[in-house]
Amino acid sequence: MDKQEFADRAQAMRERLYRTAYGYLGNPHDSLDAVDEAVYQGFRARRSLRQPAYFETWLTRILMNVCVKQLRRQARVELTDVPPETAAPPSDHLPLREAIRSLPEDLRQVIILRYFTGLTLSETAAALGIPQGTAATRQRRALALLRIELEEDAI
Amino acid sequence: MTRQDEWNALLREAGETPEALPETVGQAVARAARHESRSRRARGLVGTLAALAACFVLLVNASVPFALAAGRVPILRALVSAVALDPSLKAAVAHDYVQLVKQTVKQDGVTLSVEYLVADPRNLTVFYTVTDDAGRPVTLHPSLLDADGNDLPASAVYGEELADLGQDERRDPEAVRRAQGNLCKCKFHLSGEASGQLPAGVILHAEAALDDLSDERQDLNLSFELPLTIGERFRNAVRTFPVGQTVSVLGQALTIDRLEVYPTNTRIVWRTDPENTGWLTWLPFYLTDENGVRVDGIANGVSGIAGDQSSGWGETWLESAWFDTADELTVHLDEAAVLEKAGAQVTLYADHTAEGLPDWVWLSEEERWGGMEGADLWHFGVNKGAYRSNTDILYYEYTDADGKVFDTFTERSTTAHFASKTDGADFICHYGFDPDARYPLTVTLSFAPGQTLAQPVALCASDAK
Repeated sequence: MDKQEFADRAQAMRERLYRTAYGYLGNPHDSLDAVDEAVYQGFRARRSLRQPAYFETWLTRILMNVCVKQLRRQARVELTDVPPETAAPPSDHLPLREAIRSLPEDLRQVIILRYFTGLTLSETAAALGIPQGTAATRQRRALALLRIELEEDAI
Repeated sequence: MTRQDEWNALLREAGETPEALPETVGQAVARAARHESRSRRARGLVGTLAALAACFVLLVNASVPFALAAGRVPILRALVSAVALDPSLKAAVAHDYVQLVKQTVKQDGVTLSVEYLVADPRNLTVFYTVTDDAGRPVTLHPSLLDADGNDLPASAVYGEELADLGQDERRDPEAVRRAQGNLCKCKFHLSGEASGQLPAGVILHAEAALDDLSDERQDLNLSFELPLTIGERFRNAVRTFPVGQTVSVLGQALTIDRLEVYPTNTRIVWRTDPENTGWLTWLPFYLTDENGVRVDGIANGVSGIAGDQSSGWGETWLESAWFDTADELTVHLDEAAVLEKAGAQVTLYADHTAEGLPDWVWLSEEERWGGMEGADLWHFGVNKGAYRSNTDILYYEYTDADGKVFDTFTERSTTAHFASKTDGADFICHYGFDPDARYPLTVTLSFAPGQTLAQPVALCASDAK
């Protein structure tokens, strides 16, 4: 894939990338940073993409890895001049952003891809390399943990 | 707000893409293309990668333009990755503002290697790796000493070792070994008498511990000390922009004294009038230069020191304006928050009623949290207005009926905040008070909702050189 094609296709999916990052990171600043880093990494690694037809899925996966690393760094950076951390409250009492972050990664991926990236269930399954039934199960489980109820036809 | 409302609001926010998004994507592609181009030129200049690495190692205590431009020497790729999500450090590395260190010390199977540093008169970032022969989850608690071994007053931000590993992985020596060796950074911010005077010689002191994310961090009784020599060009890097103007913000007098621009952050130094009727509790400054380049506040990390309520002055920290900005800077303030001094004290009673709460704070029964054992737990609902950051709503101490002062942040007085970053959204703030504190309690608020300024502030400043 040449440089111009990469640039064009990255721009074409920028909003989808941003929504995906926002689902993980929950604020515009960090989401823009994550998109910047993912596009940079993707450009440098574009020659490793053997099937350009899967560009969007491939770049989305790079972005998701960037977001997960950022979340883990944020969770472990300590300040010496702030009060000690408190015990974490139960996950079902967390605000939604924190509850999404606290989901197991396999469930969180499905929620992010389905509702933030905007993929269908079959596209989500294909992106994650799992059967569609497995994706549906993980989606149901995640929504139950988040205490979100959606209409059947929305799933 | 119900859970469904939260969900709908979150999806709506995610769809509100910032204006900067197209530019962000374009700049990322351009940056990656530049690095590729420099890699090709560097290979042509020095031949093999081995020769490049050899040249790089010889460049001690100096910048390393060829090696950084190459981007393919493994340790440098790690440096670029380590600063990827830190705008100021990323700019510093991109402009070769890095000092090579390459010092290693090993004790009891634990190896600490300091690879690089980035420094200016008030800030020092050390890049290092820590590995353990046995694959134990070793982490470091660093501090800074002067050349004589005395503590240098500095706050530290650290803890990146094994950041990508969960609890199960930290108990797997193979997973730990794979993760160890990642380049980590520790940031020191000098304070007090040391501020603005980073010595030429400092000692990095680090205590080692095991951290597998269980309840207790296990001390290893192992410490390291590495002497570091800071290059002169790093210790003198500051640009001062005098301002010296006083403005009215929400009816309060605010004086912007000056801007201090360092290669790793920018500081806006300000103070308030002791005769003000309220404390300015939120001042989200940003800068622009004459070319329209914008510099924003620190999103992750220390965002400032002191504050109006505690000190009557403060420093607000922004990302660095050292690189890529011009010679005239404008300080902007479009929003702020004021907490009236007269109405800041609240009385809490033993029957869990309160007196003196302002209209944007109420007692809530929602989101009840178990809290710490034995703590007397209160729940406050808060309307945050335009305020976008998570924060405490109560001052750091409170007084009981006997006049005894308690610290809000002791082990038994705990807090937890569930803040939404949506404009106008409510959040719930839990506070646990010491059960030995006798009611009624007198607490002082430290937070007020953010407001958009009817007359935004825009003050111009020029470099004092």
